[in-house]
Amino acid sequence: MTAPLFGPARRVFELTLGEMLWARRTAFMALAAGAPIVIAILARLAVVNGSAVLTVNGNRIGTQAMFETAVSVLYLRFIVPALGVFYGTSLIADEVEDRTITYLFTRPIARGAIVLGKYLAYLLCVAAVVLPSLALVFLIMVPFQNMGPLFGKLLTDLGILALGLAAYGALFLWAGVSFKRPLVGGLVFIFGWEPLAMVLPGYLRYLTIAHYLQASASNVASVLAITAAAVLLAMRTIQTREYVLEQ
Amino acid sequence: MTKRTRVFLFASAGVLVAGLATGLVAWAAGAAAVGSNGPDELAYVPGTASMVAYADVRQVMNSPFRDRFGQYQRGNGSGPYGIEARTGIDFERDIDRVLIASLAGQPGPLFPPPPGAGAVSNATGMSLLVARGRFDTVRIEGLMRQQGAQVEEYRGKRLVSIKDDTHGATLAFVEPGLVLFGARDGVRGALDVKAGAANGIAGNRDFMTMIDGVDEGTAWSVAKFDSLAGSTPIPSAVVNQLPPINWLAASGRIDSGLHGLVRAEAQDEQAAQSLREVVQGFLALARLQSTREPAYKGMLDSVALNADGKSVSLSFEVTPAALDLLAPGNAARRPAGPRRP
Repeated sequence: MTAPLFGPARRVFELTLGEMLWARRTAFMALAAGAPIVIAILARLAVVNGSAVLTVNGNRIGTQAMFETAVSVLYLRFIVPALGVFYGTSLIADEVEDRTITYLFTRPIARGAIVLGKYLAYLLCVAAVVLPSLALVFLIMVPFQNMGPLFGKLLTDLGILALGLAAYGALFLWAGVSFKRPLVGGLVFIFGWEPLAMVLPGYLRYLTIAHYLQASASNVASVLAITAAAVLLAMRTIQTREYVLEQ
Repeated sequence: MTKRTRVFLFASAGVLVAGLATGLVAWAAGAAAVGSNGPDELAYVPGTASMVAYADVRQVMNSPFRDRFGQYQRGNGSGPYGIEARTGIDFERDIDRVLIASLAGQPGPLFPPPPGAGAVSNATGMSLLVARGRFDTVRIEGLMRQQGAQVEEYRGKRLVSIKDDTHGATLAFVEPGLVLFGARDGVRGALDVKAGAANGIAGNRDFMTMIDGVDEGTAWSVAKFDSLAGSTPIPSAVVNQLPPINWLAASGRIDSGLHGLVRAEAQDEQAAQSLREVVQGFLALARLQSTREPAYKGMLDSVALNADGKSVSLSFEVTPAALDLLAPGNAARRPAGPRRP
């Protein structure tokens, strides 16, 4: 008989969400989400005072370009992948390292439910921090009269960030379930492989998540497929893998 | 889930909803002000504009109608003080869309007349050109500097101004791929409007209603009728006999032919009815004259005159065949009209 999945997953989700939000690691998340807000405040003050002028090829950078740069450079290139790798790899790896995985495994629940519950808790936790952060950056950086034309872009960006958090988190959750030292490999992937593959000619960019985080219907489907595949792989891997706890 | 976790999640959702709601309000306000189809370039047009004209230059240039029309076109409209001479911007090659507005009073010349044609002053109004396309800013600025241009900053934008005793022209690079060109005061006024420091045309509900009615055309124009007095080729004696008109709008859809619409907004329904009768009279006269000119006859057959409330509209078509017949070189091929006894 197959053990129930969603009931136990919900209990793991609630337990993990509280732990994640109020853990020391949350300081890193607050820093990552707060930095763009501080930068937005400084940039807006500088522009209003006229004390700083950002120009590219002689053209002054307007609020629209500044907002788009914040999204593409700060959020998509750094914050989203970094949160994905730090939290995704730690979801199971921390339990192994702290030797608390045994307590979870001895519960009469499917191992897949543990992975699913923890992943959903991660997703809500990071989304609850990153998406409002982007909304605040939008409110601070963009003057009201320019918000109208950018509203559609804001919605798209929020969707892309949510997809990015889901995909990176799922990929590194699977890495955390499968490998002993997933963090180093994850950092190499997001800060080494992805930037390199994105600029190399050919098809290497298809082996990155960043490539699929570009607004198009086919890319959205690809990101959702990667996410679902990674979560299912993680659930399947934890079901069969034996964890040797170091003394 | 603990209480503080719930509070955190609600606060987070609140911030997100506040951001989205503000953006939604701004979007709705912008959509209501500018209209559903008004071009973005209207954001630079001051509320004092008396005439606004817009053209999708790329669509016109790529149309078969333009190719055919170009065969019969003579001369070059760009004078020594035109945008091409001043900036090196090639209207046909570099510009995709253009919007021209006449500001403050009567429609003034976009490009000042040559020396000897009379002094240029703001008393006759200024014109502003907002062009979207591909611009080599370094080359353009270099060319203007060679003509003695001065560079200044205004509201964070780079203004390149050429001025001599009788002429003045300013070019501003306001967005990537968007330039303003016109009198210096006009360009600065446009930047004031964009910055929200002056009223824009979007706040003029009547003007925007007229624009919404015509802006599906490849090219269109909306003007306050009194601003056109003295600048139309129609004799003032005829203009004075016309019923009172508030607005005049024209639009054209260009493909292999030209599908045109001219719409006048009279002061009241009585004036609209009178105007309709006047136009009907002119059409009857034109039809009488066109019996000897099949090209005109075909065009006049396509004319439809409508009146609805205070609005009188006239639509027409210029087909490729009619254009061929109207061409100067084809006069010999036109069938001869009935000879007078």
